[in-house]
Amino acid sequence: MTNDLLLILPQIVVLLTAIGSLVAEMMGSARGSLWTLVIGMVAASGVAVSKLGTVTTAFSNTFRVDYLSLWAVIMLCLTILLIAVMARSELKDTYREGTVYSLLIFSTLGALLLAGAGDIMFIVLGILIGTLAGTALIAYAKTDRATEGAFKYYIYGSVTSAVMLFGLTFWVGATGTTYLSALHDPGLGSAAAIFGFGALLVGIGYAGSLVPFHFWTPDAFEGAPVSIAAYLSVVPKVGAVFGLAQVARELPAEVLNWPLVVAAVAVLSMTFGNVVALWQDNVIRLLAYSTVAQAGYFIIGVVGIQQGGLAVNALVVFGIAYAVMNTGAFVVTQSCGPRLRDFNGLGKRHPAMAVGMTIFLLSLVGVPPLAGFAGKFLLFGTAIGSGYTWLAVAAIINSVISLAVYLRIIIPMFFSEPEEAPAAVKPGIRFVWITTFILTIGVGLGLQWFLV
Amino acid sequence: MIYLLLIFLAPAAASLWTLFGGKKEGYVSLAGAAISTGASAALFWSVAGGFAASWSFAGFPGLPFRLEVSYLNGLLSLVVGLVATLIFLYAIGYMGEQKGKWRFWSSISLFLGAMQLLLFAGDWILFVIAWEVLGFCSYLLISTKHWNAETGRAANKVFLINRFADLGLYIGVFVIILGSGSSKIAEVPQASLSQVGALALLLAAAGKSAQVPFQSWLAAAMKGPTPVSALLHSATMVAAGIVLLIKAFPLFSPGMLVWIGAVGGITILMTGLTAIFSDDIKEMLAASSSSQLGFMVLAIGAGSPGAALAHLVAHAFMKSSLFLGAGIWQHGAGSTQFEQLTGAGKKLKVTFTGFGVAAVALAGIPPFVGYFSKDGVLAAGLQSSLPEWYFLAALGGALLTAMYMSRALGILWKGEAGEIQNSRGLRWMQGGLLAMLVFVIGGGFLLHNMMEMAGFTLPKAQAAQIGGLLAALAGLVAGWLMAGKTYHHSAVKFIRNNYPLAGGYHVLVNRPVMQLARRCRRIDESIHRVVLQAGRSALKLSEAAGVSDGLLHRGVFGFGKFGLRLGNWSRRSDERGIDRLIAFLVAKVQALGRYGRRIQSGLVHRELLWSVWGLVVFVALMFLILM
Repeated sequence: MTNDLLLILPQIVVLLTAIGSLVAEMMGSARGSLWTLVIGMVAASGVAVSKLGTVTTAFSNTFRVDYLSLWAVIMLCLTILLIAVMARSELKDTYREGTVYSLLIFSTLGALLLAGAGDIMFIVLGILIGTLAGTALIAYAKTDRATEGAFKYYIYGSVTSAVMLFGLTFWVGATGTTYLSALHDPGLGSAAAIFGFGALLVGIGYAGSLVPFHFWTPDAFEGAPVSIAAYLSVVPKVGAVFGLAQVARELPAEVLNWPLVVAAVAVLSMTFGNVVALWQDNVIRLLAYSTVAQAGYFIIGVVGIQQGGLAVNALVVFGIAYAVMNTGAFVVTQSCGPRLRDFNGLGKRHPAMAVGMTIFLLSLVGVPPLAGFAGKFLLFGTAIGSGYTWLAVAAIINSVISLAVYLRIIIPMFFSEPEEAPAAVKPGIRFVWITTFILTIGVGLGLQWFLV
Repeated sequence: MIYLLLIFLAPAAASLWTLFGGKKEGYVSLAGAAISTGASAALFWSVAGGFAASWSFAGFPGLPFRLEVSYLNGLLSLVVGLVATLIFLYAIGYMGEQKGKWRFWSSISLFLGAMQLLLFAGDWILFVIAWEVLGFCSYLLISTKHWNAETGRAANKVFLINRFADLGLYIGVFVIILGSGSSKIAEVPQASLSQVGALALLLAAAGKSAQVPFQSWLAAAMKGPTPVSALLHSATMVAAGIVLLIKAFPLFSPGMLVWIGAVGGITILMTGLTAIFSDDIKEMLAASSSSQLGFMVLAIGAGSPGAALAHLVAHAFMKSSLFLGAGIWQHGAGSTQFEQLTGAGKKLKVTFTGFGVAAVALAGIPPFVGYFSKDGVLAAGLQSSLPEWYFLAALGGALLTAMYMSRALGILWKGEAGEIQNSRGLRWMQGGLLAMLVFVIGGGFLLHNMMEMAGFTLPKAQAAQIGGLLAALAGLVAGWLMAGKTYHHSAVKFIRNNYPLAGGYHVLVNRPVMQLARRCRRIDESIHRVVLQAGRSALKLSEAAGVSDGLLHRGVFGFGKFGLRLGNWSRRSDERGIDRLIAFLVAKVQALGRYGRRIQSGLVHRELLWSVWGLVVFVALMFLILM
């Protein structure tokens, strides 16, 4: 028991931090709440770093401590730290500011449970915690748009979760246990496997905004504060994809050709996201569709998960890269404004920041030697390695299309005249964009440090 | 390690500072260079005490990047650092408030960082990276005055010739890695390099070090600002070729060394002649640089990298002093043509003295540093496998060196002086020049020890000393007598213009490249067309996807409009009694329409329907696969 508790120490630290940060808010100190978050997140990721290399399970097989779940702690905790700094400069001195930090940590906990799930109930629990905290965060601003976004997120969440629960009962019924490892059970017939996996895909697809379960994405992103949109784009997605990977690792491909279905979802998401993003005039909506596309790339890693090493590496590296570059793109947007026009002449007003944004966007496209390239390179390698060459080809074509999407932001930055005088950049924002900038380049160059 | 990082990072930081619009570019860059040199000196202090280390990090799988600290690297780094710092000092005066100094300072700082990286590179891949950055910076620096069309052309010429030669480095490194399976720059190689690989490396070195047949780019590079000429084209960038040969020396087979020696020997003589007949002081110095680099290549060919290294160190200081002097005259007389500079030395006596000392040193007169290093090269020639050829070429080179230097001195001293303006940065410039001379005067006595520490020997021979001294004296007298005379023979012109065989650069390089570019553009255009088509079809596809969104929107709007129409209609059929009721209804419907548009409640269920359809399709798909 003690040993089990020690194994999930990072998750426990995260939980305690969430509570501590809530307590600090109750005592009326938003600053205290933020600092609790910073210290707790650094501590949790520190613990996770010290455990790297452990591969075992806790609480009789229900929770997995492995490469995926530990790296999820490291990348998500550090990302949430950056996002909290963004939120601080956006929502400072609003009513009950501290709850934002507390909710951010709670939802991270949901994603962490997903990433280490060894039991069906953890999948359900992870998605529910994430959804509830996310809804509250989106609605935080209390404007009409925020309410609309939160409502959509909530309704989507309830319907998809219901469908997922319904489907998963087939698995539990057929195998008689909620362990994921029981999916090898020959008693699991094809029909049950299909219903369960289809339903699971709905729930995961919702949390990770995969087509066709993504419809909430643009509205929720647009309504929420920008920092919350950044959070929505990173944290639930990483959790969902890692959770799917934990399931897919156990599900025998002989019973059901699930890799093909996942590959189909991947192609759909990439194509739909990129193509619709071409038509957006609002940068937040554009980035929202872009995250749909990126989620499509991300689950390529799941397709080859049973091949082992490379796929796991690909998931982790792309996860890190995606967290870093997407947070970077959102923080620059937070500083500039949500409309495409707001980016006009950024190259003249804030040349450094324009260069940073360009790097983030190029990394999202997957231009070497940036982080995005490292991640995509491994992902495409995984696809080819597991016999899905067509998937890699589709993904590469999509990367080319996505260049057009991101160029729509890059070009006005450098080739349009600025409409307004340069405004000072808040120190919090500067901290976040410079950190992500360094990481975007650093992760691309120091790729092999992240490999198993 | 911390020193090593400082050596690269200080100039790189200065470069970034300037690039992002920081103020006081000159002083920041100078500080960057000074910190780098300080770190370099500290590192040199510890390697002089016998310290050596290497670090591996990152890089390609199985081929990690390596940084290596050894006496050789430390010494070269210190030389480069010292020369660069003094030139930066000088450049503050030279650049002043000139247009383009932003670009100048950021590229020159980056250049320094890259050069230091090149010196410490312990593996070939890092070496290639640094080499590429050097080439790029040199392009930027030469075209500092890019608004001038001539400068642009010169920069292009330099770039094209260098790119061609760089191909050799890529091939050579490729061959090395394939052959040994490792990218490490090893002191004791497993196997010597194949002929192709060695020739490729020689091509790269000859290109960077302006050896025959690539010597003409160096003259073109003189269109850049004088500090650039002093730093890149005397002490550092051109030395990269020699560094390459020294680092790769253990890989060369004896048969290959003969080729290297031949390139060096021919260069010494051909470019020496060019320098004698040159009518522009900077072009004279450029040709002389080629010729002196030829000495180093010759020494390597003779199997004595020690002599090459000694001459490299000595030449760096001597030649940068000469360039700095030339820059002062350029500022004073507004030209680098010898015609305008006649007698200028009488007006600027301090500068002339400095220039003179450096010139005499380069000619090889004791006790200056040039005497010792040139002796080393001559002695190396005597000890080689083909003593008569190597020694004679080097001796001829020494004679030519003394001739062109003394001719230049003669022109600067004899005759009536023209207008000389005292420019404002003169003090900075003279400061840089004089500091440089300290080493030119005193450095010769240290050379022997330095080479021993670096693990090389500096050869010595009585015949070399006597022969070299005689050649130098004869050359000095002959050159002084030649000064002031002009030559118009067509052969002289041919030599002066760097031997433009068969139309030279224009026909051999420029025209084919332009042809190729035109071809490529045509291919490019057709690809462009295809891409455009593909883009158009993608747009159409997305239009279709957009339509579904638009339809839903229209539906909601339609609902609101319908309410409005209902209201209008009801108003038309207005009856007093139900008037208020209808008005109430209309208001409610309108509100509902607004509400509906706001929350898009009409959309959520439809979108959910889409999701459910998706689920059904996936489940059906899975069943289909199963059957």
